[in-house]
Amino acid sequence: MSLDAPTRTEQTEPAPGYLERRFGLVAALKHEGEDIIPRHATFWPVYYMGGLSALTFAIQVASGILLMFYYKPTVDEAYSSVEFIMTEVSFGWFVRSVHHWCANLFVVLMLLHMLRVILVGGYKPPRELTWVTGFLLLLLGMMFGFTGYLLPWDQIAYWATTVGTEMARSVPFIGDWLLQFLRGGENVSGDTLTRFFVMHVIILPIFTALLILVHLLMIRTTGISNPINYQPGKED
Amino acid sequence: MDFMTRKRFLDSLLGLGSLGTVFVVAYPLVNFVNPPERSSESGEWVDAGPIAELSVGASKDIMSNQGIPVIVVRPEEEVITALEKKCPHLGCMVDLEDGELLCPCHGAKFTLDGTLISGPSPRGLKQFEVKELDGNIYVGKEQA
Repeated sequence: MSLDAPTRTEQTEPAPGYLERRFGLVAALKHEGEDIIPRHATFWPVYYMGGLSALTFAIQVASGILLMFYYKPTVDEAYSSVEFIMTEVSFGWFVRSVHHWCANLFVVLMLLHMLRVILVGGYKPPRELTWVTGFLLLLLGMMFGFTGYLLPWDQIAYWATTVGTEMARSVPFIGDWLLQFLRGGENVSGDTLTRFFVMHVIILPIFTALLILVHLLMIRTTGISNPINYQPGKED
Repeated sequence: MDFMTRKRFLDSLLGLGSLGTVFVVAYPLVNFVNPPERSSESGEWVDAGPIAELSVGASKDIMSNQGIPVIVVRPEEEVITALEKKCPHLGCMVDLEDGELLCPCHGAKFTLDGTLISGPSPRGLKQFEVKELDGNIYVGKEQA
């Protein structure tokens, strides 16, 4: 190799490899990256909150899967398995703490994201359905928090769930049924624990992942919203 | 001559950085997934003190070899039992009261051999192995 600056021929891209010729993923990604995001959306951190919530969701999935290596959703073993994760498993305390704090961060970031959308009027047509899916995602996030809170099966979890499910009773007409559905019986018991576990690790993640996908596709279709009085190209 | 160009230098820096990042993620991950040795797998006996110090109708609290709180009771002269002290309902510590074991939180009651009498507990208390040696009480592992 010489000290000379690389010539033009050295800079041309290599011919596409076997996988690229078959699937063309790199080309597809490049095409996706061609959309120009308005300057205000890349400059102001208030526009990052949606992407950061998606990132925290990904972290939750990863750390949650790791926690399931040791967590046991039964009355007898739930608490002691969490204790085991915190005291015996190497980096167990770290994984559980990441899961705990990112859960809080997830909700906070979604609320900040929502605040920005409200303030810049991003919910207005043609983006009203994006708003609806975003709101559903917030509800799913809350349900994640509510179901996950029971899983350590300690006193605070037990009573929080007792009070929380009790609220369901005041829903008109179906309140009693809803309470039974949530608790899996009359009282908060081992049946509640398994129900909440299934909700937390199977049902909610599937719906959330799908809805995030829909949410993102909608953003790709409509583009990001512009602030009031925004004139394209003025600030660049 | 094969000089290190700036491009090559930066490339190798990037490569080293990526390697470091992979290591920082992989090291805790592999350690986490590796099953730790469970302290409960050791089968030693725990000294629960001399028999003479545990009068009939009294109780004594110790930690089992698995780090589980255990209550040792002596309902009769010739009977000594060791039971888990944690109520299976929500983990409060049961205590001896009027010849029964009572959970102070929600009132679950157990006999002195661990059988559930009443209350919200889903099951009775687990028994632990007990043996006597040189006038001392020893508590072993959980009975199957």
